[in-house]
Amino acid sequence: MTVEDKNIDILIIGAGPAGLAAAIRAKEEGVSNVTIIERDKILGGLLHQCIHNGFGLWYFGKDMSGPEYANRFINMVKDLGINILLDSMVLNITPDKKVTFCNKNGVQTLEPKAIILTMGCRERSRESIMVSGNRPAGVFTAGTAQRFVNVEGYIPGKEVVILGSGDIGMIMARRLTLEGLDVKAVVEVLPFVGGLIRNEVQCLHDFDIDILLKHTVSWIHGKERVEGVTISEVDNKMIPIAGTEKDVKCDTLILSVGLVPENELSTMAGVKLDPITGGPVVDEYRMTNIPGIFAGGNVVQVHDLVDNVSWESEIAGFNAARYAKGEMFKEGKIRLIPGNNIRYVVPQVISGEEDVTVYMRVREPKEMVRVKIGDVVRKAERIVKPSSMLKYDLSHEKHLSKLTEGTKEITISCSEKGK
Amino acid sequence: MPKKVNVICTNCPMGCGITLTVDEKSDEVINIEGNKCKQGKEYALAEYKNPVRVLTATVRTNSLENPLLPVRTDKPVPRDKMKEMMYVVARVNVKKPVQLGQVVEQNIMGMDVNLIATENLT
Repeated sequence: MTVEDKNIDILIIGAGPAGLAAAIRAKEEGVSNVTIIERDKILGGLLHQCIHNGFGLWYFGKDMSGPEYANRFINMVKDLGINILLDSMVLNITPDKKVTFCNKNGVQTLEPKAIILTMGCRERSRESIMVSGNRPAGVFTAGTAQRFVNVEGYIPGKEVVILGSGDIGMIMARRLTLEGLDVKAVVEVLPFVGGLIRNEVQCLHDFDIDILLKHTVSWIHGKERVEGVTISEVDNKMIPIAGTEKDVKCDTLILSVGLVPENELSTMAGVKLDPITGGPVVDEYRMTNIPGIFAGGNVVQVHDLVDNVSWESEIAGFNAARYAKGEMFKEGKIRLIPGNNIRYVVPQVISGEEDVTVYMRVREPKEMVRVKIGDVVRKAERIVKPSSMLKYDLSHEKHLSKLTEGTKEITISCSEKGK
Repeated sequence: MPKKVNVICTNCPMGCGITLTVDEKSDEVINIEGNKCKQGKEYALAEYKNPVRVLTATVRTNSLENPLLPVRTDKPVPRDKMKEMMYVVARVNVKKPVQLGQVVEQNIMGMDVNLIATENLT
């Protein structure tokens, strides 16, 4: 794309699964200039390093690896004639939608009619969870280790302890074991596994890897390189219990301790964030508080399945296209409030006049529960877990039209049956 | 003497703990319990008789830009053979170009399973 070609209808920030799906959906609505801007040299984002299978089971009805899933979307992006700006880093977005970016041609500014934020998320690091001990080499986030092993061709070490039982951590436990490393244990501070049951079985049980629940790494040993870690049991407040320490010899510590939506650019643009999700507050159109700035995928809420990332971003793509064509949206009058055992709800605001899919996560695992969305939906669930996102369709005709006139809030709760 | 075998179902987030009772002599499954639905029973039986998984890995390339190419087996393979198969995968070298879906190693360990590329290498 040349500097003169600035008549952009929709600019999409980031070419991971969210950005690709949003771009395709927007282009399908007949918008003439849809442009994706990406800091990497290739499209597809993190999917290229996720070489394991389990992608696309819902979206394509097929078990695919990350690169295979990405390539389906990349091919569609190319076929549809969507503009692509690679190796280009967005530096700033203003509330009046001026986007400044930098690449080998220098610093330039674009003024698109609509913007879709699809920057994804970032891993929490040793610093964000404050692990005590020395600061030797050999401490990696799971995603960094994954990139070394799957893309760059380096093995991070020989003997590994994994802190946190998130999906990437468990997937790396399997991957490293298959590459011949000795994975000594997966340590989880909570009383339950953080990732999906499928990964617990196929990544840990299959290879007899121990999982220590209600334990944490309380010290990292080693001066130049990790030489071992101290593992301690924790109490109900997640504080290590004195006297339970056990030293484990290892040269590598891998952290899989959660993901945080990446919203530095959103904040610059004046987009309001939800303190719980860490992502923008959005309405059912996936529009933020800044008119014309939309968001989708892990930048809004951290998903467990890429299929949901694609679907959510299509909502943003479709509505950004409507916005660029000058269509008006219904006002978000009703707030969705997380109640008992619900950590968050997305979207945070709805109009109440359209069909909407609401996504949510629970705080704690519970069996035999009833999820209530105000007085309009009651749904029995056999089991709810923080690792599995819940998704409900609210139809205007069947549910939302039954709300009392002037309703400003709907509380969503998850309680055990009979209570 | 019947023996007890435990499996965890991965069909849904329930993750039912299913117990199979197996006759040790005939290896016949006498009883299955702990599953909360029909799929659970089928899953438990398959997991006991012949647990299979798709193996995903990487192979070496002659490209400086992309030293590795991601690959997977074109069908699920016996779980117990995965580690052994990695020794075969480790010896595979591919030359560019490779198309996504292209077979990079045929009939691994004589098991009628091929290794296919899951990414384009240009």
